[in-house]
Amino acid sequence: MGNVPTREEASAGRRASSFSYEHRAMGHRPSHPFSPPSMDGASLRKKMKGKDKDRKEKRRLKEEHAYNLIVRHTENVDGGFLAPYGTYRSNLDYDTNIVRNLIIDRRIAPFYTPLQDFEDDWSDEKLLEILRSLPLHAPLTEDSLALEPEDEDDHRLHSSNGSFRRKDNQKFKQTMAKKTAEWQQEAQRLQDRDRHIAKRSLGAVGNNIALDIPSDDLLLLLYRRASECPICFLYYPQFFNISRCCIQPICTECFVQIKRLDPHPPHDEEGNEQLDTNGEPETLISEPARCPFCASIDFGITYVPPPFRTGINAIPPSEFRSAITTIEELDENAIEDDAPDSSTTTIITESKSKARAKKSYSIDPTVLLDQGRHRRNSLPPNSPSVITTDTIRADWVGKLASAKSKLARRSATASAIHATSLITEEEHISNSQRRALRAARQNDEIHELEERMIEEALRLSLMENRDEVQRRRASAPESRT
Amino acid sequence: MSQLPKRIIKESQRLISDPVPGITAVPHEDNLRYFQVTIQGPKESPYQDGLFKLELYLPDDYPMVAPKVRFLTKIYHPNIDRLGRICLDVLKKNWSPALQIRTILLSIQALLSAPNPDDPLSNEVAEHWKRDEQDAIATAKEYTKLYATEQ
Repeated sequence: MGNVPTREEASAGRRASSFSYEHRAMGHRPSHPFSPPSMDGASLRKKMKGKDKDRKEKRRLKEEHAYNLIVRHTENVDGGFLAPYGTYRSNLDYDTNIVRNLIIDRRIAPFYTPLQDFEDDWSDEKLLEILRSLPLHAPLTEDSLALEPEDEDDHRLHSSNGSFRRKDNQKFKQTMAKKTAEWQQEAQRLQDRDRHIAKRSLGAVGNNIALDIPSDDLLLLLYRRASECPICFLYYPQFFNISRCCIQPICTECFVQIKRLDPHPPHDEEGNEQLDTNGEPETLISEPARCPFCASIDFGITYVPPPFRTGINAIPPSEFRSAITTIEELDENAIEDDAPDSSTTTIITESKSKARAKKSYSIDPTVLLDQGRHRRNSLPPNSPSVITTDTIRADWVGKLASAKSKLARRSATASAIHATSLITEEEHISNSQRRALRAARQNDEIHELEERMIEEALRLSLMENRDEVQRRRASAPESRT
Repeated sequence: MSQLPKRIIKESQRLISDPVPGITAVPHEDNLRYFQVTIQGPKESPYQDGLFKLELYLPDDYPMVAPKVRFLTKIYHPNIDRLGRICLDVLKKNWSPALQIRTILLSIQALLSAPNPDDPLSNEVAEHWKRDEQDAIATAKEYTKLYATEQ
């Protein structure tokens, strides 16, 4: 793969300010939406051989994923953003490219910045003051950069290949965490700068610099009637995703958290049991996520976007003007103004040259389809407007397959070890090795540890033997204990 | 420790401002994810007149994962083992992030009213329950009197 960072790609940091419109095809992973700016490339490239290539590609994808999780004020849709605010620190393994595209296509709600508190009787001035000072992302605390527990192998005299790999992976994780924090800080700095410009040129005509700072009208229209997401208890504009089954609101940040459980044996009453080594790999199952509200299987949502559009593929949020003050008014207004065009479908045709219309706001007739914002009936999971938890985590098939093969491999290893130990028990086998093998056989729960222990024990005892021999040859007088 | 999520703060506040009858849950001052809980034994159950202490912990991934709850007071119940661990579907695979501390504690209270010996955690107790329900209930009452009543 042509993965060598070119100079152009090396300035990816600066590209943050202009969203790329090229990769719009749904469900299609862009070939190179992002290349790492500089990953101490020289040293890495030299080492790159066969297997390393896979790993490098994996890391590139991880880096792209982290990059996609940065909230940038320049990437805005209808007053929200393409990346989560950071209410949750884990479970962010959804497909960021798919979600970003779904937001741009107005098929799920954008990630709106949540309000921690909200009172209906707040004055517009107070509300604006709060909104104007909200950060793009929740503060990245120190523990998000915290080091993982030290690798036990670090205390060993000799490090195995596995240990080197783990150390390397951990280092990569730390580098990524640091980078993520830096990227987000930079994005915040750019927003602060634009906010400052917007504030200074308040009232001045033709402010062409801080286009991505939303107008007061937009902010007030969105947040004046903020309401609480029933899962995170934070306040959002009323443009929520709606569960397909029981018509409950859910914010996008909570929606992307909901996913299938890890592959598990069927009829698992305990629920929290880890993969059982004795289990048959083929029987592992993976079930679609259930609705958090009504427990229907195949959780999915629909979304009806606001009857105006700002940001990507629309007018800049700074140019949004409206005399309408509440969402309810807006809905009524929209219904009177625009009869839906008979030919419109839910597919929104995009104009590549971001047509910046001069009108105050444009009402998209497509939003009036799908029975307005207030759908009354439930929809099946395969309905075209429904986005399921599998849509944004399409990798569950692969995960199930790899869990199965992992389990198969593990039981094969276990029987091999069993057989080996029976054969070699009689021979000159070191105590530590025998103990490790026995422990490994008994220990069904800590699979990872098990594999590592065996690997380590075998290798160490070989080393020990060799050292012993060498030492004897050198006829060193000191005796070992 | 990282900042406490708004949801946990709000749940704690609401548990105080709008308490559930027969249930208290007070966050520990050193760790606001750790709650000291009491549940009154439901009327017309073998646990009537008992006051049961529990501990509840909200893991880092809460509400995406269930709270961890355990009885501290000794109790004779087919779905609660000697260590106080509770066999309850909503604490495990049927957990949903739309559930709350409040709803979980209500479910536990309901479990006291309706023991389910067919899905036991404590086999001995469950067998006792199936073999001679009256006798098992008598033991449960005895335990309640012995361990769950302030002397």
